[in-house]
Amino acid sequence: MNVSQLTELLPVGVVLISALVVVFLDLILSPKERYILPMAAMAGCLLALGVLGQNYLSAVQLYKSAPPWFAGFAPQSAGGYKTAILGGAFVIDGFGMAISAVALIAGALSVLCSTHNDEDSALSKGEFYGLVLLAVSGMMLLAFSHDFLTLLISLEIMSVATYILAGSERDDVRSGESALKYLVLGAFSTAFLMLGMAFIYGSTGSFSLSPVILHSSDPRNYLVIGGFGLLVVGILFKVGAAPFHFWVPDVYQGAPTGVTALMAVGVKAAAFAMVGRLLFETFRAPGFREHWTGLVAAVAVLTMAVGNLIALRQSSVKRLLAYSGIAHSGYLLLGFLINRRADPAVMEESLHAVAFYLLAYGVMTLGAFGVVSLTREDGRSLENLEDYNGLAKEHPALALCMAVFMLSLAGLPPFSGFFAKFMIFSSAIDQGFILPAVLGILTSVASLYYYLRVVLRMYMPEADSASASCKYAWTSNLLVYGAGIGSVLLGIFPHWGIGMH
Amino acid sequence: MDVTGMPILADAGLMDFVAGLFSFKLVSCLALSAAIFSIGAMGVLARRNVLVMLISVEVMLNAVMLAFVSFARAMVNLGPPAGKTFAAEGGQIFALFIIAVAAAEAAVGLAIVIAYFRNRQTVDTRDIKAMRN
Repeated sequence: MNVSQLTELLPVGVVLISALVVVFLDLILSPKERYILPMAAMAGCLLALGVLGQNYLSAVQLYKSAPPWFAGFAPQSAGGYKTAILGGAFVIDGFGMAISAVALIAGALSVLCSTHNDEDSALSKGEFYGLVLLAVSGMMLLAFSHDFLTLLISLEIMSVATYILAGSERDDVRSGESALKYLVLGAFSTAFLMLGMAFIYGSTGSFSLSPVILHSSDPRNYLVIGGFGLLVVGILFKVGAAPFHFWVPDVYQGAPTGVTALMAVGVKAAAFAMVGRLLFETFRAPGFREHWTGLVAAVAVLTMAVGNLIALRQSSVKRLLAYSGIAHSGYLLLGFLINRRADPAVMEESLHAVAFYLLAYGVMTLGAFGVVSLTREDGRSLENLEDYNGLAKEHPALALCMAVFMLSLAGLPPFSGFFAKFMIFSSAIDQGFILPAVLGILTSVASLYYYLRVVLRMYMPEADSASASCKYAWTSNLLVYGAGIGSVLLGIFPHWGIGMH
Repeated sequence: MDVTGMPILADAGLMDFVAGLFSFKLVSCLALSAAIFSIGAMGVLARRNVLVMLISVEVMLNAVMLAFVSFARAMVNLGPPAGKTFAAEGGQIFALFIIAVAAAEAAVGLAIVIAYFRNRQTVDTRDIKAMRN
């Protein structure tokens, strides 16, 4: 084994080491010095982000061009970026790097979002930040894994850490309920995923995600088809797509707000990395792709419709954001449609669209949850829509940022959400899936209603006394303003986000 | 067997029956695995006690393990699929990893169930409904 290959995984190592450092620091520090813990966790994420960027730049330098967005598309013989490491267990490519970057940003910002909890809360302990970092390391490994075994293990590193995080507010019944539901349904879906892996292993004799393993097998082989079906069920569960979305609202609403932000952005990005690897790489093989595109298109349309329609009648902001997250999963699934020709260049464009969407969606969702975490009463986030009445009068800057996030999530022009949706819909249309794209645009128009409802409540002139009291915490304010500026900048200069390419 | 090639035991029929009973057949192993998996899935969907649901998830994971090990065994018997030099070890290694995953999930799961029980004194899914829209 070539040890120098491991530098490609150094960002993950940095995150893991800082997780250990945070847990040990917790033992040494006195309660008054605990404020160092979130700073250390943040520093770990930012350092890893720096190392990731350095790796990317050195790859660009070494190969005189950007590494292919998806290693599977460019064979090494064709001058592609030599990326398979550890015997093909992991593969380092632009897509994996982009998803890892989103996971690191989600980790860093959800730490910021959680720092202002009360002294005695379980959330201010070292384990909490250590687990956030562990979950982030699982997400990054998932984005790079290229083998069923590493896929499963990274998925479990991420999921088990997130189960604990969801239940980390131990005195709160809703947090415990969220953890229970997440645990049972998460483990249930993982079992389906594993059985699918078993069937595909049984028919191909290989764990690799490379499409080569399917070349010798008949597309009508019932083991492969059954295994693929089980894999799809497991993945749609993780992504929160329509027939399997029912756990999302309860889990998102009950978990502590910082953890919800991590789940809504980081876990979703990692799950979509899994979708990309399986659909765009393994099952891109001819004879298979014709079968799943229709299925994915149907699921995408159903997900967008269900998410947006149920969000219309939500009274809790966290629940509203959860249903909006389901709808956004539907939009993202549109980016994974490919036509019969499966032209690698067009598929790379689709992946760019997906990665930019995840980045833009991540920034605005993290910001929105940051605002939710700042409006508090009795140590718990206020989340009813009525609590936001007249927020603009008391906290104009926060309300402005929240308005930016809502309009950006709705996909209105000057903000990042517009370009994200534009790229996704145009990639679906390029691939010839016009009806799903049109239905997506229609549901996205419907979504304007519930996003604008939040904005209107904040700017209502007749603010009654029930206005939310906001706790001041510079960390969360930093997060909210940073995300607000980010949403605007990504909307005006979208090529900065795609400029990684 | 002796040099004539005939079975030594008089009741060879019984021995053949026993050998047939214990010989490896992929289809029967997979059928057993599918049956166990379905029992576990039904348990998760139909039972009301969270602890029993967690046990059912473990049953499902064990069914997956059985599937992996029987595929690995079939590859030893039949030889790896075309184009592969070896494939049998993978399934057994995967089964070991599933054991580790199941243990981690069980540990965390029980901790979460206990934490919830301390708050609510119940783990019945009919009582777990603090959140409604």
